[in-house]
Amino acid sequence: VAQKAMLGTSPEGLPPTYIYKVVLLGSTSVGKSSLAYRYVKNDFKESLPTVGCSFFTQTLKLESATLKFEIWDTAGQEKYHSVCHLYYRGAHAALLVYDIANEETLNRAKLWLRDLEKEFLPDEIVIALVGNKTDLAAEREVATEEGEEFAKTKGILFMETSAKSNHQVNDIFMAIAQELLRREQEKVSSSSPHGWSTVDLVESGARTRCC
Amino acid sequence: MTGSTSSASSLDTSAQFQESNGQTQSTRWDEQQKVFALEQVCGVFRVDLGQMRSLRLFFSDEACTCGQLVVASRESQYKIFHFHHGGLDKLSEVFQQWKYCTETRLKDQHLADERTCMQFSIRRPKLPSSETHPEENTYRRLDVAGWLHHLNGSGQVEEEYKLQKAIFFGGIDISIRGEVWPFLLHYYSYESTSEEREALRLQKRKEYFEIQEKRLSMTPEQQKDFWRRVQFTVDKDVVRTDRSNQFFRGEDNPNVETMRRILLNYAVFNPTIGYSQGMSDLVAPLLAEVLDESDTFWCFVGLMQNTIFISSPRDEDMEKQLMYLRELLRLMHPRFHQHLASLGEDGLQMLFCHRWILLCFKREFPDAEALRMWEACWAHYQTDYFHLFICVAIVVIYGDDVIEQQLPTDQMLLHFANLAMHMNGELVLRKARSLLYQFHLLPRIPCSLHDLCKLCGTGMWDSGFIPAVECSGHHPESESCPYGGLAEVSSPKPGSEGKRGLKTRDVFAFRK
Repeated sequence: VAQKAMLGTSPEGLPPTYIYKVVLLGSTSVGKSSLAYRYVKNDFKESLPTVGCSFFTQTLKLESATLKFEIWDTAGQEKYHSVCHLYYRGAHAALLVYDIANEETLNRAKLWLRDLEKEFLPDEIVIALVGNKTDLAAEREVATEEGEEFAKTKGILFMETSAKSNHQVNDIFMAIAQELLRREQEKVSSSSPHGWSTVDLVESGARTRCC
Repeated sequence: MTGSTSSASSLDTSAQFQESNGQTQSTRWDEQQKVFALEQVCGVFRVDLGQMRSLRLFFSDEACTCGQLVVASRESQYKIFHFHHGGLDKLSEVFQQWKYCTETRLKDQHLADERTCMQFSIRRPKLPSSETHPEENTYRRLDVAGWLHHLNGSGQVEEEYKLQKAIFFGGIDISIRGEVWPFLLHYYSYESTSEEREALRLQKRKEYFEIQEKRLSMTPEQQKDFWRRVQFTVDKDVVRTDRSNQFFRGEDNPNVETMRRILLNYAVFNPTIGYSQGMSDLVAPLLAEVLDESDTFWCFVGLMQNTIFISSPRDEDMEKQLMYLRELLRLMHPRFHQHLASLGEDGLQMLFCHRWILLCFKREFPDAEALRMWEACWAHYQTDYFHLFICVAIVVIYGDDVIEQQLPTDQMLLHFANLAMHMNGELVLRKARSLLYQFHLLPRIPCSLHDLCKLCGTGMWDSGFIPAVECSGHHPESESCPYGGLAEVSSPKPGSEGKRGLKTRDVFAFRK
């Protein structure tokens, strides 16, 4: 389980390093792997349908902190759905990806959100709704406003991207990074020494013992 | 290496390694600048040994001169150097000396804990004889002559067990795969005659086109639903499956369309399974070898029915596979199992091998090697679960880093994901056969693995020797074990054991 490597500032005065687990969720062929590939390798290639789970890391050096993203790319197919909750366990952020040229995939993303809401408290996870494939503008089925409105009502981040033409891919990860850091600072200022992942560990330990 | 990065901290792809070792500090900087310039110009690059996880040599020839040098960073990124025309042996000598030096130095400085980033090991293409199946190398690849030898006058397979064994050890020559695979995939029965098979093909062709007809005559609503559930994904997947294979290459390749029809028709034929991603990976090689559309379809049906490991990615199937694999690892590679157990539930879920099992190693090895593994599994020689022995073999051969460096779950996933397409399939397959043999020799097996070799025809213990089955105590409390009797009542098993049993059962339960 991904956990923060360091809290607070290290002795040498270097900015702290945080490790975050980020999961990509969404229907098949909405471009989850391509988004990850674009972000990590800054390239686009035709990818095979993801089976099981793949994993990327990307380090983001900001002025105030260094963030190490562990990006989990999952299979989009519904049939793998129940295995997938293994992947988003312990996640710090989730990208709910849909294809702007396919209305159905937005509905699917909404279902994913409902799943996440069941498993996480709102302050436990940063969620972003991502409308991918803006390069397919001619085939657009979901208006920008539609995604935006929905995200607003749910209080989650929103952005439209294109992994193919490299539109706003870095931006969405950056937005997530900033939100994660903001929450990190909030946590420090509220002077609670425990992150939720620490609490979670204790909980799961207790569960193992009692049953 | 903390604190002492001055020596042996950089490694060039050229032969400068040895020299730079002996260089004085003053010329070193100039040298580095030069190397840096070289990097820019001709793609020469350096690897900082201090930032390295492991350095391994994989020899590919018997003489141990050719092969690969694999440098892994701590982030499990790999640099691979291919030595096609020898020379790797020389490099090996250099590294041996260097390893000796660093080890001595580390010992002197009491820095034993630093060893974690300085792994150096050599893999030979051959397993030591103690680690190979005694019948290894007794079978040649099954070619036309060999195949005909297995058939009698009317085209029946005389002794299916012998054929299966020959395929298990030797594989099938590419030229007759299309001929033999339909038997392995239960499309043709072994006792059928050539004539009967021709009749069956005609019959099945008719059936196939009836299925297709059914698909094409759906009502508009049905069509819409089918598109949403199946066709949408199939359409996207077929055009990105096996495109590097000559058979599917190019725009508007008719074979891609054939693959598409087969998958769509399969979803009509078996609506409960429908289409799962990954199926296109499985059907593509079948079509490329069997060629005929209807025959491929029925082979695929057989594949989905008779090989448990890919029947469907439903949880209970996967869970059973993982349970067997965990038990096999506990038995045959306890150190690795221990490591998984130390990571708790997350480790025991073994995310790194889900794809291995779902696609039977298709994405882990180049086609030529993956298909040899398929054949070895389809032969159902002594077990229906040979693929799990292959999993164990991969872990035994390529999992040292994981144990030595106590990699956590995610790093483990990264480690094995990065090894995909870089492993030696022949070596893995030989190791897997040897593991099966060792399993066969065990005087006692835990009850958890009893079914592992029970399902297939002749079974594993055909020679009359039957191992004792012992209750391992890993049972849900409500179930009693036929081999342990009273497991649920008192069972004075150590507490930790019992707990672990429960834990593995719980593996797919979500927290809370």
